[in-house]
Amino acid sequence: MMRRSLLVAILSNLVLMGCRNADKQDTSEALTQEKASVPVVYVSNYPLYYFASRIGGENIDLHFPSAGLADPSGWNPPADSVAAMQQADLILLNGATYEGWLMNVSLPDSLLVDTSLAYALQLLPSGEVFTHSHGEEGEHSHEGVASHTWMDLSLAAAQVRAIRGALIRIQPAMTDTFEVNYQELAAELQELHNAFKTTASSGTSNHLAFSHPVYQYFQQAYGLKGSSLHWEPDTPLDHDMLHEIGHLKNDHDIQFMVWEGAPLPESVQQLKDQGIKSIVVSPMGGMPESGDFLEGMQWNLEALRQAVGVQP
Amino acid sequence: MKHVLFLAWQYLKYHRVKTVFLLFAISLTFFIPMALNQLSQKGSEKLRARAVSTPLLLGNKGSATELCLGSLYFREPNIEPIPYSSLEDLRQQGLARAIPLQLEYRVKQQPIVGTTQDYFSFRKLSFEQGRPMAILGECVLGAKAAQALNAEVGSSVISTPAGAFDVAGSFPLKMKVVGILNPNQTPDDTAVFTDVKTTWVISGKAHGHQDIGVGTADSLLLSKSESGVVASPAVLSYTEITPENIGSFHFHGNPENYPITSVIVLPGDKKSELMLRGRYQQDQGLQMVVPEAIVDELVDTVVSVRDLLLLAAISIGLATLLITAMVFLLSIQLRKAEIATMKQIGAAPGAVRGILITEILLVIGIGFLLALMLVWTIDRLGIPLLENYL
Repeated sequence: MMRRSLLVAILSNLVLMGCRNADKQDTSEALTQEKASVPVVYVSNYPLYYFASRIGGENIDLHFPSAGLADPSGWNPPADSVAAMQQADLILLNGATYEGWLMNVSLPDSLLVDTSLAYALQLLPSGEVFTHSHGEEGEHSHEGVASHTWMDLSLAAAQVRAIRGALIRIQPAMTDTFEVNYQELAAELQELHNAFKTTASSGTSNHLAFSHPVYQYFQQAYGLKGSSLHWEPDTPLDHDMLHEIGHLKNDHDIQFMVWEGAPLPESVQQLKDQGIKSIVVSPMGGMPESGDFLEGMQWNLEALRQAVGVQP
Repeated sequence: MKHVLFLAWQYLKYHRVKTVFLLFAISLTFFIPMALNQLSQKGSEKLRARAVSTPLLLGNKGSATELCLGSLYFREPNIEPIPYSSLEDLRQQGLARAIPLQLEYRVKQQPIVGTTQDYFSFRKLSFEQGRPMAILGECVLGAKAAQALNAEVGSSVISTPAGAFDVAGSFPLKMKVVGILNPNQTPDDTAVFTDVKTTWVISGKAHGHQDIGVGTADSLLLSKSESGVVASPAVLSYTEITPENIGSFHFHGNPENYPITSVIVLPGDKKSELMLRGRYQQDQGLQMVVPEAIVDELVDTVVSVRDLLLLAAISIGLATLLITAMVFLLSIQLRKAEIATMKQIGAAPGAVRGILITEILLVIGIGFLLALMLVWTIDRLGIPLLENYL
C-alpha cells in the first residue's frame, strides 16, 4: 500500500512537471514570437532616436549604431553595421545631407525614410563653399547644405510627423498607440518651440559668436544674429583664434560665445578677459551623457535666456 | 508471329551495316524537326519567363529590344544611359518601386550589374555563401560568375577597363567578393552584382585619393596657394576601397545626373502600371516598355524562323523516307532468291510478307526510339548550352 502511494505521488509530480515545462515552453515561444514581430528600426542621430523611442516605445526594436559618437554625421559605418541595417524594417534618416556616409553604403531604398523630405525647400545653406576642379572640367563650386535641422523645433516636429507615418506604415496594428504618443511629443515640442520664440523675441538682439556652423536653423527659427567660427570646445585658443574673436568683438560687439559643448576653463577665462561670456547650446546630435532631447533643449533654452538677457 | 519476328530480327542482325545506316537516317529524319521544335519552345519559354517576371522597364528612347535584352539578359547595352534623377522622379510619383540597373562595365566576360539590395529580393536570389554588398567596393557573384572568375568570398575581382583606347574612361576597380549566389539558371548566374554607386566609382564619377591639402609632397603638387592646391597627375586615385580609405571617396557633381542604363519598375497595381505607361508615352527622352510584349515579338520572330526550319527539315525527312523506301524495294528485288527459297521450304506467302514488313517496322520503330532518346538528351544538355547564348 505504501509502495503504491509512493508510485502515485511520483507519477503525479512527473505529470505536473511536464505541465509546468510545457507552460514555460509556451511562454518562451510566445515571447520569441512577440520579439520577432517587433519591427527593427535604425536611426542615424540622437534626435531621431529620441523621437522614434517616444512614438514607438516598446513596440519597436530601436538601434542607434553611431551612439558612441559626439557627432554622428561623421560616422564611417563598418560593413558589419551596414549588413545589420540591411536586415532592418526601417531606417530613419535625418536627410539634409546629414548622412554623408550614405553614399558609401548599400542599403535598400525601400527601407530608407528621409525625415526632412517634407521641408526640402526650406533647407538652408551651410555657409561653406567647396571649390575644386578636375582635369579639363574647370573650377566649380558647391555650397553645402546645413544639416542640423532639428534645432528649429518646428522642423523637428515635421520630422516627428514623418517618423509617425513611417512607423504606422510598418506596424499598422499599432496606429492608435503611435498616434497618442505622437500627439504628446508634438505638443511638448510645440511648447518648447514657443518658449524659444518668446525668449528670443523678448530679449536683446545681441550679435552672437557660434563656435561651429551648426546653428543655421536655430538662428533662423528664433531670429538670432551671429557669426560662425570653426572652433572645437576642447581645443585651447591660440593667438589666431583670439585675434579672430577680437575682430568680431570690435565689429559686432559680441557679448556671448555659443559653444557646442563645455569649453576648456582657460578658453572661458581668455574670452571673459575680452568681455565675452561663454554659454553652451548643444546641437544634440549625439547621445547625451545625461538627460534626454527635451531636457537638453530645455538647457539650451536656459542658455539662450542668458544670452538675450531674459529672466526665466 | 514469334517466328516472323525472329527471322526479321536475324536478317537485320546479319546485315548490320545496312541496318545501322538505315537506323541513322531514319532517326535523324525524326530527330531534326523534333529537336528544332523542342529547342525553340524551351528557349522561348526561358525568354518569356524572365520578361513576364519583370513588369516594366524604364530607359532611354531608342530600341526597346536593346533595352529589354540589356536589362533582362545583361547583354551589352547599345542604348544611351539615363540620369539617376529619372529614377528619383519615378519614385516620387509614388506608383511603383524602382530598381536601378547600370550595365556598362564588365569583369572579364562577366557583366557588372550595378543595382541596389532590392534586386536580390525582387529576383528571389538566395545566397550560397556570404552576404549582400554593404559598402562601396563590395560585390556579389552569380554562381557561374564565381566559377568563371575562380573567385570565392573574401577574394577580389577587378573591373575591366572600357577599352584599350579609353584608358581614362573607367577605372579598374578591385572589388571585394562578399557573397556568392545559389544558381538559378538565369542570366543572374553570370553577373557580378555591386551597388550602383560602385559603378560610378568605376566610371570615375566618384573617387578617393590621399588628402592633397595637408602634408603632401611638393612633387605631387603643380601649384599651391591660400585658396587651394592643384594636384599633379602623379596623385593616384585609389583603385581599391578599404575601410582605411573609404572616407576619402567623394562624388563629383550632382549624383542625380549620374548614369544608369535602365530602371526595373514594379508598379503597386494594374492601375498604377497603366497610369505610368500613359505618363511616359508622351515623354521625349524616356520610354517605358512592357518586357513581355517586346519579348513576345522576339519570340514570334524566333517561331517564324523555326517554322521555316521545320518545313525544311520535314521536306528533307520526306526525301529521306522515300530513299529509305527505295532501299527496301531494291532490297526485296535483291532478295528474290532468298524469298523463293523460303517459299520452297514451305513458307506461306503471308509469312514471307510478314517477315519483310516486320523488318521495315523494326527499323522505323528503333529509329524513332533513337530519335526520342536524342531529343531527351538535347533537352537535358542542349538547353543549358542554349542558355549561354541567350
